[in-house]
Amino acid sequence: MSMRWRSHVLHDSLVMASFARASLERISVVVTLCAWILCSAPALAQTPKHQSLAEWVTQLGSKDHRPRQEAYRELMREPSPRIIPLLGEQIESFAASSQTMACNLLRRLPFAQTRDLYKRLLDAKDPYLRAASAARYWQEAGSKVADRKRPLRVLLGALAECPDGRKMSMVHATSQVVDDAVFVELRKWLQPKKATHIVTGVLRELLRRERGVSVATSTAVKLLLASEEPRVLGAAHAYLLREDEAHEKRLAELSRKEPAVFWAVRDLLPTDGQHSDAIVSVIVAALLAPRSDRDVNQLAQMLKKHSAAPLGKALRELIGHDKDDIRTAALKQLSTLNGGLQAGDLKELLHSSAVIARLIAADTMRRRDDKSGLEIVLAAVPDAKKHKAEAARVLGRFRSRQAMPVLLDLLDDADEQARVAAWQGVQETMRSLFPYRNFAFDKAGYEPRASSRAAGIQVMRAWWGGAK
Amino acid sequence: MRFAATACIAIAALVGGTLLSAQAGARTSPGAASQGRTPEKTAAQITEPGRSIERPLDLVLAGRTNKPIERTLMVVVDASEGLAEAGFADAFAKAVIANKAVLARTKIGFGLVGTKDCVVVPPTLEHHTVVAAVRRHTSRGRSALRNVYESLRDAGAAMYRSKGERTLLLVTLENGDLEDEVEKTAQQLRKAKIRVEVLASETTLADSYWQRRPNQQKPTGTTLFGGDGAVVDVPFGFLFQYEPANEVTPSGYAMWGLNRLAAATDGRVFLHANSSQLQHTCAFRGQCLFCANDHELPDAGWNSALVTQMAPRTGARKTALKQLGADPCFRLVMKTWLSASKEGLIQSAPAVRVKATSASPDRVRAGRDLRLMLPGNFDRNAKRAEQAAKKAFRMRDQLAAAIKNLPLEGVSHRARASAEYTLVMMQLTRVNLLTFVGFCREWAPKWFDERGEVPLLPEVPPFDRNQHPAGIGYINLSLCHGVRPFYDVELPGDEEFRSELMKLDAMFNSFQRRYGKSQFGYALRRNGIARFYPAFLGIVKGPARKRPKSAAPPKGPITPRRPTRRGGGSGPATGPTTGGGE
Repeated sequence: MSMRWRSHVLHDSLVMASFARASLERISVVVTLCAWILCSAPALAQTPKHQSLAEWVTQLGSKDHRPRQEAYRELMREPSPRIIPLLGEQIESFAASSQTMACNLLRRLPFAQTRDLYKRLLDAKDPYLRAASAARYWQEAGSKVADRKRPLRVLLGALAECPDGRKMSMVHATSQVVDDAVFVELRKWLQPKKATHIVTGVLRELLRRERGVSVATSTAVKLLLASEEPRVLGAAHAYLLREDEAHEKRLAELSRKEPAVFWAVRDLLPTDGQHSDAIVSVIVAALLAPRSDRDVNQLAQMLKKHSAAPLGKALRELIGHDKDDIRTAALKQLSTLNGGLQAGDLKELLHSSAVIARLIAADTMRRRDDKSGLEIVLAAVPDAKKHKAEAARVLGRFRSRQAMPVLLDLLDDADEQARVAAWQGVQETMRSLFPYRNFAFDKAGYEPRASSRAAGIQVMRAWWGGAK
Repeated sequence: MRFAATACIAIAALVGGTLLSAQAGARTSPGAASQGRTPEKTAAQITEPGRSIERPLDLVLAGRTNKPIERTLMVVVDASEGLAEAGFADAFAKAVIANKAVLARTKIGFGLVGTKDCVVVPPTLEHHTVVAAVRRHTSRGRSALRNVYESLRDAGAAMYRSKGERTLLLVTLENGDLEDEVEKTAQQLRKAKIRVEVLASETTLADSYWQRRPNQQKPTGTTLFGGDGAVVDVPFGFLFQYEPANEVTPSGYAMWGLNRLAAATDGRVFLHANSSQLQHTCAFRGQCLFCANDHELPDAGWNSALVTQMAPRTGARKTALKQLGADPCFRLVMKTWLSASKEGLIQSAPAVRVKATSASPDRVRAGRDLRLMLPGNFDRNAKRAEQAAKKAFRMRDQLAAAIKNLPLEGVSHRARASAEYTLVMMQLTRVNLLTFVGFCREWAPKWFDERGEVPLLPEVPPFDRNQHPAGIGYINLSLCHGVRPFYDVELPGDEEFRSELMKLDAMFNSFQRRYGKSQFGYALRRNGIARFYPAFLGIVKGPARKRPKSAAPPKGPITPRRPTRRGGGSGPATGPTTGGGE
């Protein structure tokens, strides 16, 4: 049963259940279940696999997020040139988000096949479609100035007409266009009263396309300093701090008063990692109040290169965080930090009650040529539960004969991720331990995502039995 | 031009003030000062800590007094890709602004290595013109062999009329190894009271790169030598080591020629490394069996005291040879190296000849070829390897005994480290020879036996049994994680091989206990156990012939391009580093 079908059935069942509660209170659960089965039958018969390309394209234009997203994923999997005429018929009638998805699909196809459609879209009513087509034409023109003239003219017109709601889609669709005239149009969007996401998004793009700060953008950004919106003000400081260090302090003060400012402007900070103490303190403050484990990873990367000491201190504090995923992310980051986990810490962690802590400690010790954590990992595998995949990954990295039987057992684990990690580990271990032998693992008949795996596992066990 | 430069500097020496010698007096012994000599220093004494580009600029621009005294500072830059990527122009502009007050009476000039007469902007108080020129000339660069020593002589000549303290900042990340009358340059600059401060990249331990490439095209009258010491004092080219450790082991110091200039003029050497150079790699051209590029080297942070102990001297090459000739340990290493090369255990011979009490330069020669990698008869190759393994065994024992009998005095730490390194390498060579014997006797015949067994899946035959090998090749399995992990690895070789592997483990650990966290400990990890494979003839297509665009021959000389080099001291992006100057 595919995941998609399952989600259909789940959705239908929820609808049916609520319907049953509202109107038929006295009817027994058995009747409800019968109704559910009857309603689900068409869904079973109508598996999405059999949907034609035309139907997927029509579904792409849906106003509901879920079916639209589903169609997008399906079409993105293997973009076929056959969708070009289908999209050509409907793209102009699509809603904004569907148009964005359709343009993304077209970009995956060769220009030669999409040229005619793009040519038609250069005269489309919608500015976004005009801009996306012009950007593609501009890109294909290469260094031929004459060929770039018309698309550039269309693009500039579309940018000037663009409503606020589509500005960021427009920026992304034209991300390959590096031209001063386009920059001039984009700079016009840098206004104190514009929405924060537009200001930060445009600044990020300008920093990228202009390869750093430019005098013209600096001048435009200075106007943003009059904004009353703290995040817009923060974005201006984040841009200008490259020219004047005074902006670092102002940004730091602003972020301290309003933590949301930092989250809005973090992508605008210099990527070389050389931040002043004021900015480092702001990043550390944000790191200590992460919204998710992704924040921990991203902010740790920002500090890793030049501010390892404060980063280490902050990560240590996060090890005591309430959320499990944040604790794990902090510990993982700490383990990759040079000198982040000392020998004493590792010993303590190795005997911790948390499985993930034991795994991270053993892996860190392995990286330092201390394999004493292997026994701990081997013992932890049966109780690893949701960390089984991580356990398999760690085990594979030991490249040890001792780990092989456990890795072979994990090839048939219920957790797919654990199977994938174990299969990777088995291959790496065998290649390391037997450098004079030549392996063709694709001929072993094992595929971790397949439903029948017994034969492949049998082959691997037979070889290992003979070799060990 | 050279004559003019010499004359100018000689005049400068006569009319120049005594400021530099007065400042240097604190460090100079009375005897040396009266004789006009500076006492010999080691590279450790003149090398500043750190690997950034900002600190050296800040220190040099501020001057040693950090006061707005009358000074002349000539910045001589060797523009290269590495320097442009490091953002030198921006860093220089920032440093000039930051030191504005101190530079009030400092005339700054700008010279470019490789241009005629070197000087682009003569010393001036209008610093913004210098900043603009630096930006214009260093924002992009090309890797080429350029003569920095000649440019220094020219730049020195342009400074002879200047008053007050004279400093010359040489910025070169690539070209310190192209030597051109180093001693003469040092003498001229010293006489003109010009202090040379150097910002350079770190070189490798006893770099053998140019010694292995004696035919490299180079400007007339120059020689290529990139090591940290005056001579290559650590053996290289051990049998079955694909890439010499000498070419990938960071030394902690700059090239000898640059060290020499700084030391002779009471200057300093600053090292620069970019962040990609700070990343650890277990093997440059080999393979690491034990990690997924995530190894945290236990001796990543070096012991500065140890590194200092192993620092090379910065005296003139002649003086260095004299001192080395009197060192019994150095003599022992050179003798062992020579006899090992005659036995074919080392594929190079020392470029230094040791006599009764002295040492002198010798021509570059290769070691004997044991002809082990020839195709056809694996058994014959195995027999030759067995004989060589016996010789390695004998030489290892002789060297061990000689090291034990070395006198306590008169032996430098560096020479002793080199001797002990050679000892462990002899054992590693023996291990490699024994595994080669195993390969020739056990594995290769099995692979080519037409009636041989078909392996069980997922194992497959490594190649078609009907193919005929054209030779034997090898790669190195890195010793970065030590020898012990190899106990688990299936390697060709009998019981003797296993026991020698265990001995190697003991010797490796003992060496690391003494020299780990230093350049020699690191060097040992750069070697590896050889993994052999039969080589087959492939279709080789020669490089396309370069034709000039027009029939006319090119006008004027063409600067030879610098070859791309991995992990070496002369490459722009992947030069070695000790990781923060410790």
